[in-house]
Amino acid sequence: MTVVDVKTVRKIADMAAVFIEEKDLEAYAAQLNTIMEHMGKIMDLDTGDQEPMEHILPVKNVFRDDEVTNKNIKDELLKNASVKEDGYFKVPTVVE
Amino acid sequence: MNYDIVIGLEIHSELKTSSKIFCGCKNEFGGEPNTRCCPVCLGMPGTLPALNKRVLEYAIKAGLAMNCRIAGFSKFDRKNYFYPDMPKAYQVTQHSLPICYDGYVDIDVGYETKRIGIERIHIEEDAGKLIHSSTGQGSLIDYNRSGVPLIEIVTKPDLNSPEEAKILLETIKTILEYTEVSDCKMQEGSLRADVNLSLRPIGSNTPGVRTEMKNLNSFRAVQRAAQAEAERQARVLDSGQKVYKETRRWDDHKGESLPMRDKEEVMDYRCFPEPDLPPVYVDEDFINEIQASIPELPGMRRERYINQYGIPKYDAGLITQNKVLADIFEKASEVCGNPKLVSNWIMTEIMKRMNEEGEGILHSYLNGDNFGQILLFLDKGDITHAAAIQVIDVLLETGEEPIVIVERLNLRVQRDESLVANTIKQVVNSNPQALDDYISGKKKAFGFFMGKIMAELKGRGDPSQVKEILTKELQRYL
Repeated sequence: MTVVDVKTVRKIADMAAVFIEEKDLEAYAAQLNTIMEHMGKIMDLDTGDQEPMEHILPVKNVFRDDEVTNKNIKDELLKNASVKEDGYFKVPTVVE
Repeated sequence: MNYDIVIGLEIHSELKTSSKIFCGCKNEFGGEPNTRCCPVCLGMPGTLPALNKRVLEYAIKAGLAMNCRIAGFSKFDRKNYFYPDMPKAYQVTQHSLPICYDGYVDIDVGYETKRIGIERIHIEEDAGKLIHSSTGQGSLIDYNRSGVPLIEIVTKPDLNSPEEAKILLETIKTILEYTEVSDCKMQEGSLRADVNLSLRPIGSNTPGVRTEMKNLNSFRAVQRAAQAEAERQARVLDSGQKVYKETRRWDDHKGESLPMRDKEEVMDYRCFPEPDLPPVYVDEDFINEIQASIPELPGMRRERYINQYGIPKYDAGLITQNKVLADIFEKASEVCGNPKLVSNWIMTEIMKRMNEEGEGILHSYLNGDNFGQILLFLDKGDITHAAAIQVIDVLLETGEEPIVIVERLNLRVQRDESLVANTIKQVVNSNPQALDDYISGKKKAFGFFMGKIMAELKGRGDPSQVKEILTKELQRYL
């Protein structure tokens, strides 16, 4: 069963901002199909009595109090930026 | 063709917590760029967010105030997109299980009350701010706003005119202010709305294709953008073309909107459960506690003002639209004992100043107590109308007690009958021309005398007393 075609691989790659060479698209499509097939087995299971699982964690309600605990560490944070200007992070021009 | 307008709003409101939603950075508007950031709100790998409990409380509070049901179980999701305002490449939001759902807000349209459904209210984080570099090259990012808590209020498409959209936004702003979950400063972007609008030929049941206009940050912009978009869609449909489902940007200066993204590209956010944040369970006790903390809301307050104080519906509506103003009204009415007088003065003197100088006046030296004292002086006839205005002026400048101002400026009404009578005699005698006019039947001269006498008494005469004595005095010449 083919659910992932080359067009879909291209779209997924675009959305994930990953570059895939044209010649590799077929190979990715085949691999993704294998994965989909494997995961598709879940459709054969009888899940009638199962509660829908909305979240994978067994914990709940982890909160913090509304307190300001952080200081201004701007200089330290900006050290990680490859380009900066006037205290800002700088990126290539983005036009929406 | 004629169309019905169908509008739904998505309203984003920043919550006024002390700290951000998932980290201990300060939640505050403006300031030096990137000074209120940390690895969590900058989306550094390996960091772990934790939900600010007050964010949950405020979201529930807003939901209860808008008659929503509160979800006993809700969770967070990642909404994926690439844009540098969000360094993690996803926004944490509540996609599938919002904290509040299925509510409503009543709005007043003319003399009618209309119920607008609230589809859901969910919690999410705000993004950073992009500005263009002064060098003309590249974009600069300030992440101070990144991680500021937001609620998004999604209405049902129950609005049928641009005016209704504006009124709903005004109503929700008031509710958020009363419940004190947001400061709703629209000029700072802490309250902004997206307008979803479609047209439907009158009589048809088929919904039209809708467009979305993003980030409108004034009531006026909401109303104008909706009006312009309804007209644009009507032109498109009338010319036999199709309306495309698209996001448009409203330009308030030009009064027109343009498509924001390519028509062909449909955004796919690939939402999935946020693995770093455990789900949220709330119980009845928690909800009841929050319910108990909700103050009297504007609609209820307005009804009470009409019934308890007997002030007009229109006045009550305007006064209760602003919580601080309503508090001033109530306190002043208590101090002065004449709510109608207080209401009249708010509708004229105070509103005038609010229009001219902005709402700052409500946070100045003026308060319900001193305003009530001034109006009590006026109501008892101790000072004149003009003097009351003068006391307000001085009070706003110096913050002195009304009694101090009245004494210092000697504003008490002059009622000493012999003094008033003498002044009147003197004025009449020294204006023979006006007296002749009066005698020859020109009644206007009476007003002239009144003005002169009041001026002579430095505005402190009691108009009714002066009028009475002046009438007697002039009678002697007839």
